[in-house]
Parts: sequence; C-alpha cells; structure tokens
Amino acid sequence: MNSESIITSGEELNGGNGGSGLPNNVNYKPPKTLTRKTKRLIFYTLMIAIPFINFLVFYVYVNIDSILMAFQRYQYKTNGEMGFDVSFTLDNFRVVYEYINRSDYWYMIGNSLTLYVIKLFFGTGFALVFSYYVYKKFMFAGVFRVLLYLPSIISGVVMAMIYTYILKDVLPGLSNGKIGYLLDTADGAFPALLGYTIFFSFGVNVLMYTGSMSGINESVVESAHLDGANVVQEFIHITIPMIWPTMITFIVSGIAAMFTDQMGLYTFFKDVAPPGVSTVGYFIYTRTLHADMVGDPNAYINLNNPDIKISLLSYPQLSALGLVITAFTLPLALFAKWAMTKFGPSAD
Amino acid sequence: MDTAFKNKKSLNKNLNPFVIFLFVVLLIYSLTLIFMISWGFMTSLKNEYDFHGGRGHIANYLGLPRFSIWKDKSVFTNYESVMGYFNGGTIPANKNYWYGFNLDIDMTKSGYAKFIDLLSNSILYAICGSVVIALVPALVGYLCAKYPYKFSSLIYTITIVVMVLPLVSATPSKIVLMQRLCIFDTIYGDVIVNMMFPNMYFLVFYAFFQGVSGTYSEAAEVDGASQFRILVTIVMPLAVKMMTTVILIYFIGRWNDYATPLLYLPSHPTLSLAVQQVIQGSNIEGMTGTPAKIAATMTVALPMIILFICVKDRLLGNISMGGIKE
Repeated sequence: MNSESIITSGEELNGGNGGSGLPNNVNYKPPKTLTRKTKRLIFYTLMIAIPFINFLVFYVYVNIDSILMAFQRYQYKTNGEMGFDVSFTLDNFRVVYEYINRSDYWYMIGNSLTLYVIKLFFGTGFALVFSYYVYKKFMFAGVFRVLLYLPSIISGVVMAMIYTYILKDVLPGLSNGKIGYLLDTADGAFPALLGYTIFFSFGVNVLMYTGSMSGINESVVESAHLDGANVVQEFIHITIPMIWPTMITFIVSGIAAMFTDQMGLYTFFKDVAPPGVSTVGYFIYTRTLHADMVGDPNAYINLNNPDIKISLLSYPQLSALGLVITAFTLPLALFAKWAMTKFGPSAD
Repeated sequence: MDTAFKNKKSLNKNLNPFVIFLFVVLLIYSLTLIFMISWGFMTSLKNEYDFHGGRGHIANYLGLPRFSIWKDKSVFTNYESVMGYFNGGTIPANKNYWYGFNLDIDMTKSGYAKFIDLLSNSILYAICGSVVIALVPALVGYLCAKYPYKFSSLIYTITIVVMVLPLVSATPSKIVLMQRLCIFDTIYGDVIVNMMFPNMYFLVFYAFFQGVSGTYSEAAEVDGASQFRILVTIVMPLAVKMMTTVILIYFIGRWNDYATPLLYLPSHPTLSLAVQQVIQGSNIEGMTGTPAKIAATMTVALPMIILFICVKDRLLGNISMGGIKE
C-alpha cells in the first residue's frame, strides 16, 4: 500500500462523519500526515544541506575571497590597535612579477609544463597499457596488479629517501665515483626527478582504468575477435573508445593540477630545491608555508640553510599569482575537454 | 579436449609480441620496485660501518646485512635509535591531535611530541579524514541518484565543473577563513573542511547507486520505514564494501601525507611529517647515517605494508567511475 493512499483530508473524514462513531456536531480534524513526496523532500533537504553549505563556504566563498584577496593590501594598523588596514590595489601582481623576474624563476613554468607533458605521454600511456594487461588477465596479471599499486601504499617520503640514497650512496659507491650524485647537479636533478615521478605514478590510475575496462561488454570484444582483431587492435579500436570518458576526466584533471604539482620536491629538498629544478606547485607551496597577511618580499627566512633565502610573500600576493595561473589554465582545461569530447573516439 | 583447446588458445594469446613486450616492461618495473623496497629494509638493518665501510670493513651497499658487525648490539639498533630520537622530545609540537577533543595530553605541556603522540596524530588524522571524505560523497551520490530533483542535476554539474576548474592557490584564503572561524589547526576543522562532495568518488558512488534497484527501499517505505531508516538499514549496507575500499584508499593516502598537516595542522605533527623532518635534518645526533635515516622512513612504511597485505583484495576491487564489481 502506497503511503499516499492513506492520506486523507479533514473534509473527507468530516463528510457527515459516517461510520466514524462521532456525533455530527463534533468538527473532527485528524492530524495532518505528510505526503510521501513531502517526506522525501524534507529528508533530501536536511541531508544535502550540510555538504552543500560546506561547499558554498569552503569552495565558493574561499575562491571568491581568493580572487578578492589578489586585489587587497593588508597593513598593520598604525594607531597601535590589533588588526589590519585593508585597501584595494593592483600592486600584488607587480610585486609577484618583479619577484619572479628578479629571482629568474620563469623556468618554473617550463618545468611544470614539461612535467605535465611527460606525465601525459609516459605516465598515462604506460598506465593504459598496464591496465589493459591486467584487464585481459595476461601472464601474472594478478601479481603485477598488486605491485603496480604498491607505490601508492608506501609513503612518498619512504620511496623518495630510498631513491635519494641509491643515487647518493649506492651508484657513486659502486662506480667508484664515476657516477656523481644526480640530484646535486643542475643537469641531472630534473630528469632524475621526472623519472621518479612517473615511476611512482601508476597506482590509482591503473586501478581506475582497469575498473573502467572491466565494464566493457564482453560480446563486443568477442565479435571483434571473430572479425579477426588481435589484442593491439582490440586495445586501440575497442578498449580506448570505451574508456574514453574516464580518460577525459583524468587528462583534464591533470591540466587543472598542472601548476599545483610539486613533483615531490618538498619531500626531496624541503625549502631549498637546487636552482633550475623548481616547479610552480613547489614554489606556491613553500611560499604559502611561510606566508602571512602582510608579507615582505625583501625579508628572507631559511630554516635549514642560511646561504639560501626564501622571501616572504604575503597571502594576497600568492592569491594574485594563483589568479594569473588560473586565467591561463582555465581556458586550456575547458578547450581540452571540448576537443577531446568532440574529436575523440566514440564508443559507437 | 575442450580444456586443451582453451589452454592452447590462451597460450597463443599470451605469446603475442605486444603482450610479451608488456610482460618484459612490467617485469623490469616490478623487479626494480621490489629491489628498492628490499634494499630499504636491508639497509635499515645495517650498521653504518657495514654500509659505508670503515674500521676494517669494506662497503656493503647491496648485500645482506652483516650482523656480526653489530657485535653485542641488536640488529634493530637503528629502529631503537629512531624511537629514542622521537621520544627524546625533539619534534616540536604545541598540541597533538586529541587537542581537538579537548583532552589533556602531556605533549600540550611539554611542547614536544613523543612517538605515541606522533602515532596517535597519524591514526586520527587518517581515520577522521578518510571516513568523512568517503561518507559525504557516498551520501550526496545516493541523494542525487535516487532523488531526481533538479537540484540533484545541479549538484552533478557542480561536481563535473569543479573537477575540471583549475583554480590555483585558494590555500591562503582557506587558511585565513579557518583562522577566522577558529577551526585552523584543530581536528574538527580538518573534518569540517573535508566534508566536500565534489570529487572523483562522488561520481563513483553516484554510478553505483544508480545501478542499485529501488525495490527494497520501496518495500520498506510501504511498510512505514522512514527515509533515514531506509538510508541506514538498506542503502548503506549495500554500499559498505565500496565505502570500505574508498576509506582504505584515503586512509593510506592520509597516513602517508605530510604536506597537508604541515599546512593546515602545523602543531599536530604526524609520524610521516616527523620522519620527513628527521631525514631532512643534517645535524641530528644518532640519526646522521644512511641506515638510521632509512630505518626512520621504514617506521612509516611498515604499518601500511602490513595493512596492504591484509586488505589487498578489498583495496584492489574493481572500483571505477561506473561503480564497483564485487
């Protein structure tokens, strides 16, 4: 019996009170019962309210505030009171530009772009073929599946340190010093870190791609095999088109994260990555760690090495930098999504 | 006959050059990985003179530990040094994770974290965050899949947009907001901020709940069960396996994460953060050698390796944006 069927109006019940046992002069009004629709709506509203409010506060507000902050200057009150005087300014953009220009940090953008492209072609490429291997249950697929996920289990700190000491102690030691410590050289550090990043990047990607591949209809694969398709043709003409939506999500998310990817630099070098190695993500992270509302690009701190300084940018100046980067990556991400959807392979 | 034919077919499939190439690449990858982890564990058991050489010993970079070099000391001396270092009150911390629950722990007085503080911070940071991060997208995914209001479509669109919007550096603004709300550097602040639904797992749960039949829920509704009761007693048990997988993925990620606690919970050092500080410190007494530092990193890795061995089948279940295959 549907709950709606038991809902009755007071008027119906009171229509002569026939059979109700009540005298005719008593105006009985039964308690109002909520309809199924109303109950569902109330439940839905109550349950979704908190996550949605949270989203409004910690995503929408935070991002709007971040944009506004990029145009604000905070200064300590001069009359001795606690707090800040806030004024609107475009100066944050100039300060960040001059800071990057003065420190010759432009190479960071190239490093971040290189990292993304290498991760896209090698990281995504290998993740796809490895996932295909696991999905098709080729030789030792189960074992490889576990091992591919292992880097996601072990802390980045652990793997970074093992990698560091193999490069620092083992390789130079075994080669009698002919091979130097790669992470200490300007030419060797960046490629060594790129290799490390890709090597340990497969875990969750392989898990998700394998999951998507396992949803492919077996009859499609069987009919392709009957038509003479081999495993490579199956991979290119069936598997890739079928999981294309998942690939779009990963690739576009990758563009969105292009300038926040640290490449594990903080794990390897803490605040003092060697010259020529920094990425934009690492720059923003380390500056945010030491930032405050006011900042002072001419003041320096360094907790580890007094020879290498880190200037104190303010939160508003970092927001200005973030805004400029967003203005660059937003159209790129949207264009990539549009292009991949329009020109990519179709499941049909 | 049939089995023999199937085996032959399977062998032909496996002998494809493409498959052999992938097998070789995966084999090299796996062996490299196994070598690195084994090397780390072996090195953590070595004496400094065993590893680098000296005092009449030749350097032993790749071999098994020569336990005789330890003489009367335990082979786990490096691990004892790590514990001694952590318990020596050298990791600065104003509070530990329990601070958010207003429990008075010794560390809040001393200003330094001990191993038990680091461990409790890690466990609580990992558990609280992973449960919330898995639960909220699951709940919102269910609501959007089973309550087809226009607002549900809006939520779905918001998630897609948020996932592709490359908004950079909202971190300063978030820190300032948390400070203003007095939730910065607290456990409840961490939990509140993580009650977010727009992420990849919302799509996973949404797809999953769309595939779940509504028969049981409708039957329960007819029998008078409330919407909340249906959610708790019928819907969530159906999704519990997938939720466990997502919680495990996040638990491991948060256990290993030191960058986020450093930014949002600066006075609640986790084990991962402490280890990161140990290996980056150049002049720490007793922790200068490579084997001792590798031993420090292993204290973070070993619990997760054990957990992984216990739950690998659940963790590696077929999770996808189209749901999960049991």
